[in-house]
Amino acid sequence: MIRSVVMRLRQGSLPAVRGLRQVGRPVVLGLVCLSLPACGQAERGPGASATNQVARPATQESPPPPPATEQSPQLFRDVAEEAGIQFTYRNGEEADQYSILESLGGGVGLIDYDQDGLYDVFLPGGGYFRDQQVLGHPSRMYRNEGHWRFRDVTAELGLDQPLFYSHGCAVADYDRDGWPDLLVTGYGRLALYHNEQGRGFTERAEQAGLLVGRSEVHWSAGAAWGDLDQDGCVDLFVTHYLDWSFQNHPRCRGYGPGQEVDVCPPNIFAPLSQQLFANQRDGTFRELGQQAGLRPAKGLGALMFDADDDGRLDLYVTSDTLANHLYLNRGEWQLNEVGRQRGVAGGELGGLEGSMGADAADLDGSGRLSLLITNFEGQLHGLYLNRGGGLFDHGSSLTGLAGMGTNRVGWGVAFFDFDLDGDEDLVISNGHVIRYPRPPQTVAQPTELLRNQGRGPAGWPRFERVSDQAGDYFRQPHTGRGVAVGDLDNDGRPDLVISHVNQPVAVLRNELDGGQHWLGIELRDPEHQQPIGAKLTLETTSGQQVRVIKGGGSYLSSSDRRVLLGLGSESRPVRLTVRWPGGQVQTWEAAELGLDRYVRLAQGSAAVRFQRP
Amino acid sequence: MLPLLLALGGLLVVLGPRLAPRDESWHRAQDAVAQGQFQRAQSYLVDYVVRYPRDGDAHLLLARCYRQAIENDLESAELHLKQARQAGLSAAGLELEEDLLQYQYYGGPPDLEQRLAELAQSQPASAPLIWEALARGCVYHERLNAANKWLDRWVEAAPQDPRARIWRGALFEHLGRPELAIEDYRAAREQMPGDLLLDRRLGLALVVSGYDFEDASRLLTSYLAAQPDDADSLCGLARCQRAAGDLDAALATAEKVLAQAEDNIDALRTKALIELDRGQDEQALLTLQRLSSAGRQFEPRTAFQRLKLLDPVLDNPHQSQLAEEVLHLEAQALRRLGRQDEADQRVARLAELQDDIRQLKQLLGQRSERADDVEYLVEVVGLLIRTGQPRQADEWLQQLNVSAPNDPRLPALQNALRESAAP
Repeated sequence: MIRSVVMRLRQGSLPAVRGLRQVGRPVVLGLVCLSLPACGQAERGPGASATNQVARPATQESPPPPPATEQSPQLFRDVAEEAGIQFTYRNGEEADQYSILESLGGGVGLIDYDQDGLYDVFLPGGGYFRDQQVLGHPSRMYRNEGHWRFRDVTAELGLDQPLFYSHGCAVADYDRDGWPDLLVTGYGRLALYHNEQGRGFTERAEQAGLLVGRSEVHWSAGAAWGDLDQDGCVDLFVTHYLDWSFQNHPRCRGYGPGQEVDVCPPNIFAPLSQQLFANQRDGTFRELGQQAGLRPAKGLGALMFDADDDGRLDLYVTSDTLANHLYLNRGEWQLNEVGRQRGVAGGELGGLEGSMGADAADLDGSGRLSLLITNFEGQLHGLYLNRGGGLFDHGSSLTGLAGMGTNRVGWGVAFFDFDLDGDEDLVISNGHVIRYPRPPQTVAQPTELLRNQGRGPAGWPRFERVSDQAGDYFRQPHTGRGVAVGDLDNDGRPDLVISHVNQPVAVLRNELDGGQHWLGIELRDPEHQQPIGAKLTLETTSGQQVRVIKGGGSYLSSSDRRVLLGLGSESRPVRLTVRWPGGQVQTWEAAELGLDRYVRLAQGSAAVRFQRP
Repeated sequence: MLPLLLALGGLLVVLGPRLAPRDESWHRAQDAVAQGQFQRAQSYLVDYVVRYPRDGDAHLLLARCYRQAIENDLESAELHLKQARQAGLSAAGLELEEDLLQYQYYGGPPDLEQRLAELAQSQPASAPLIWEALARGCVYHERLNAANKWLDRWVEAAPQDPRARIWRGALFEHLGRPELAIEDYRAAREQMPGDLLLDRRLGLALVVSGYDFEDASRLLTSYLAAQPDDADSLCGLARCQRAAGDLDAALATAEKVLAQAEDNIDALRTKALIELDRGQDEQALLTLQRLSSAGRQFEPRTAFQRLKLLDPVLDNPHQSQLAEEVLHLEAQALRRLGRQDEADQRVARLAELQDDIRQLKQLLGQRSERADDVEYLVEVVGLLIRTGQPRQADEWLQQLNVSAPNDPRLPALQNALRESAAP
């Protein structure tokens, strides 16, 4: 029965899902766990014993979700309210300023701030206007207590002071103390919250040198961490949007009959310089954007990945209404912008587009990452197929993305294997930027879930929209913005957290059932960091999967950096090869890794540390 | 007795039109008008006024039909209005129709637009008729933003009137906003279910906007069952087939169009894209050469002429946009063929072109303030030439010639224009 359900899912008639496996899974996992040394010992952070990590006792296994009815199969079920995450990003539109600031929305940060093995949820709060002052709403941190219960720990962590009108967040351990830190972007400034060993955060943007030397409007949006100079410390790239301020705040007519006013379009504002911060390995940064060759942009999305397979992280920046930029990293802080030359600057026919989010994945099994960007309505989302050598072709039509139409304003985007069949599917959040779009456009728009149907004759996959079959959330319109993917209950099924503008955040629990196997990998480099740029190749009995740890991505959001490899019901892992940033290659045999669990692999060490199942 | 007869005769002259029998032609004409079938109504009324030439009401109605028909005949409308007045008709309706014709035909006098708009506000019953004339007058005289405003009023006053919806949808398409046409065409289809031409309109809007290729494919297929050679529908269908991943069908459809018209821009573009999808890069380069050549021959006024006839075009590409597309796609093919230097040249040219286009758009936005500024005219002409728009460049050059016939830069601009227009 379960298998037939999964088969129907794979055939495109998505059915159900959910919790039958929950009855059996703990037993199976318990057996696996019992066979391992030190199973059950919790590790509360990197300072804890370097034994196998089991963060929570088996009694904290996720309870089975309530059974869905036959009438309402839920592949993804919004559990935000019952999980205790009741939060709404506010953009201040009630002041009727019709500021373009209101259109960007907020992101989602998944961060295991207390290193207990469960990812917690950070949500930027947005802001509001008082007269012509731009002010911030507090952000929120929810601690993952297990069992799909979250607790608001914002105040106890010292995150309850709204410093500014916030948008996005990005997570990384910038000072290599083993605790993930948190960058928050927004209007007027940004914030760097240093993680005080899971007990709280202190704001250090100024002392870290992130607030110096900016003469233009500060409107930071996307951010990406990654070690661009390969010195073992993550550097930081921050996008800035455009030069709006209340000193440059024209009143724009509405877009429909009789509509006197609405949010202005971005093309009447000038682009801003983007910022690149080199980590000086002492807790401070030096801004090198201009020196490195960064160009002005209306920057939104930021993604660090190795576009030309030369072993160095490159940088991609989406720019609203202007050419998107691809910076190839030539070393020595020289970033060459080659977006047009490499085919990733604009649309299928070369036109400039309104681009927002970005993500990348290996779609053809070559190990090269193809790039997906979300665009404004009337424009295809751009899937740029990586042909090797850093050359890309626009492949939205070839891969079926064109078939989903252009009637959405796309934002957050993530490749993820929601059905654990071994290839990466897609989620794209949507929502309009203006207050009164003309029909058939709407402010709220459905989030799209697209299933990877596998590679066709040309070697590229085709994606098929399965939103209508994915649960109530996907059938309703939302004012979607940031999307983060993460396995919030460590059951191997990737969940989603999606931020909306002026609507409650959605926490979408993946309730897929069907006996698919999986393997979760957490990589740590010698500095205890998750190595952005590392490439994992898992050989299985049915082929190979390649995954890469990327910096930035999606839209204003930060996802679970562990790598989750779906194995379907048939294939079995044979071996895993990791190419670490810097080129070192390590291999683990399947027997060492096991199945249906998370393992932590450290660079230079053959040891496999098991994490809680 | 004689005075009595004269009085009776006079009364007949005055009342004659009213007393004329309303025969079948008249009733059929009325029905056709009610359905918005103005050309059909014309044929009944022409027949009717031959038999009853002094029926002022019939002349008035016929004049209105000539004015409101899609392929309108404003001269004939004017003629029949005169005949209506000669027939003794002096009703307010006649004066209104005279004003509407005056506006739609001549676009003036200056205060007429305001007067008609106020009349529409005060006389809701006449409002749809007035908003229509204002909108169509603006279309006729290429005041498209103003036309948009009046079309909004027309739709607001008569939301169920499919003609209002169709006119607004057509204008949206012409202005490059096909997605906005979708709602209007859908509303019109509710009033005119089964109308194949509306299927075609909606199908094309869905394709060009990219909003829904599946629905577009269904609608265009339905239309093509009746009109299998309609080039725009075939091109639209080819785009849908490509979006659905059926490259063989898409190519066959595009080739069918090219067999009829070898320089069809949309079919050539789709063919080139399919060849690129298939990795047939050399072939794609050849097709792109054909597209480039067809683009240079493209008459940009065609779309406007077709708008006046409510005949939507699948695409309304600017010549500069076509040039951008060709450069971009050529660069893609050349890159894949390993001809990186040539690809880079295309990319550099594309960047220049896009900068020029951006600059040109800014300058054209200053047209009303700087129409007599010679430096401005020179700059616009230069940019029009550089962006591959020789016909528009020629128009602006003529204006420059009038404003500054002795400007020393004129010969160089004329030479550049000649060179750019050469095949």
